[in-house]
Amino acid sequence: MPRTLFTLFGLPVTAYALGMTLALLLAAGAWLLHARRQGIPARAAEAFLLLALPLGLLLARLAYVLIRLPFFIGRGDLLALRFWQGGATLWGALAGFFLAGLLAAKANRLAAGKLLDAAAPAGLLLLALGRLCEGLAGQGFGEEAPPQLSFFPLAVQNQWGEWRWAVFLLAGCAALAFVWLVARTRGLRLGGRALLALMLVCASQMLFESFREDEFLRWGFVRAGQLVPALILFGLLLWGLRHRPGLWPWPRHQAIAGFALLILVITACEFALDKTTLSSLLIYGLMLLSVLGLFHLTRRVALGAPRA
Amino acid sequence: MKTDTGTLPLARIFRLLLIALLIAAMLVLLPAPGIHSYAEVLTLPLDESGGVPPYDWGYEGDSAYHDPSISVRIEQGRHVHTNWTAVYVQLSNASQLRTLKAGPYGSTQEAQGAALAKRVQAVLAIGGDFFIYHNNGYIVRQGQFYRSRVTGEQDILVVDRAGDLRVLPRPDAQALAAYEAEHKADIVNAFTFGPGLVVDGARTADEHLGRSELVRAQRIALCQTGPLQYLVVYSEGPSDKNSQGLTIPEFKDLVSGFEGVITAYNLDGGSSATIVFQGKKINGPASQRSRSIGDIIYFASAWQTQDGE
Repeated sequence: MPRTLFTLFGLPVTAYALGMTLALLLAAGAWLLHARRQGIPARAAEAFLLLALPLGLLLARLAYVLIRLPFFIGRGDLLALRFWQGGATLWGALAGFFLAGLLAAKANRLAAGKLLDAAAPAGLLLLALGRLCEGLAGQGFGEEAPPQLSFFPLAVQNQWGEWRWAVFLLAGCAALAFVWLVARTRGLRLGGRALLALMLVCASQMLFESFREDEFLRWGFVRAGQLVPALILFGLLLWGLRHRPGLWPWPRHQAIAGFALLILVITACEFALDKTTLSSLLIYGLMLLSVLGLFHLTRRVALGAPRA
Repeated sequence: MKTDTGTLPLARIFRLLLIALLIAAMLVLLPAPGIHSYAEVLTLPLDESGGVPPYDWGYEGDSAYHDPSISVRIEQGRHVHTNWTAVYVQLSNASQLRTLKAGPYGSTQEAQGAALAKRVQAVLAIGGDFFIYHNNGYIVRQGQFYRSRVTGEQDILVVDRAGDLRVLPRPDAQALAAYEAEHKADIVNAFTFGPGLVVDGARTADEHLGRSELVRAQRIALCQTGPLQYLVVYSEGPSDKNSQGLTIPEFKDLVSGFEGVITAYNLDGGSSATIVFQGKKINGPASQRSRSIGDIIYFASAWQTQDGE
């Protein structure tokens, strides 16, 4: 449960909201500084922020509501519109980020790829800080940690005093590593950095989502946080096969079959975690390898082989 | 002056200010990744547990209460040299129209209306039919059937699961059995006092008038004006300053004069007539000791927020 620190215009301000606001300030500042160095005009950089902030919020809420539509439908109390009661998802925010990039680039006669490439590190920085803030809302927790490993930062105590794996810290640190990775990657085509960032986020979320044992979005037994990134990666794979045919020298069906096989392995791993007594470490090891495989396959098809 | 980006500094300042405002808005628009503050109109259980406590912010002075589940508005006026009070109630859910006995059925326990209202966090409460005071009639409370001993001399008021009021005109045992055969599963509360004042939108005829109907007294009626819309009408009695009290025919005239009344039923009047709002009895002379009663009919809030704020 997020703690309410104070109220503003009669609405609660939670520790999470305060953390996210500071994170947004930091990421926006970093973006404005970084954009100048990347040759993005200030007007375009500001336009991007002016679009990304409302679009990110609206689409994050919309995606949350759509994923939980049976809960919201027919309520008659307009809960879906009451943002201050909470509920938003990363996947909608990501859509807002990319849409804002396309619109801001078009309005300022820039190549969308150039603007999004420049914005990718700041976007990842916001993701990293946002993940770290999740702990303030009592989310991003994994299973209960064994007593000998029940200490910060491996685990944190939830509101009931249980020590649980700090998945939000792991996801936040990974996103920070992605900032560095994306910033230092060279030799990609226009838009390549933004796509690389998207692939890293999608692939890693498929694993991190599996670690979580708290409030997460789902359709039946399928976690939205795994299905949506899998679909995004698959979309990128198909896009790469169609629009970048030279980057994948082998028959197309092999890429699709490889992707399907890796998804099957991840699904089997999820099943095994739920239904078998196999070692979790072994299963997660296999899942990690599969997720890395998905990332590399998608990257190879859509962006080409990484340069040394 | 132009900047390197070709825009006026003022426009840039405006954009940056807007960005800062958008970010600041996240303080209230992005409180948590999941729903953290949940509120809804509950269906209250069919038992003698109370409603959700009324919210302080729901009160508008001393004459109204509103939350998303219930709306209460009090009006006052004068009829035949008598002051009257009318309370309009709109509910969201039929379960918010409830009753409470002062003690277990069979006991003669009484309590002041305000105390009973407090026990169940009523937004508005009125006295019922004081069923512990007599031994006849048809008594149902919150789905529990306590008594079926009708004499054919009193009208019965039934409240069903949809929250609709229905007057059964002076049923005998046979007529009641026939009604129960069709509707028993729908009956939530039933009262024996009367008479019915308005049935199917029409004022009832002045029949079977005895002494108690013709004496000028405090009167109180529960009325329905639409789906989940109710009206409580109270008229003062001769013990109140500036009021002479109403006979039942006069009270019928008053009640049937309110717009939209479909059903109206006279409840226990005299000193037992009770209206409790904001935890206080709001009718009757202030100096008079508040009479204890055997039961209340009350309207409860069902608006449940997670943090109770």
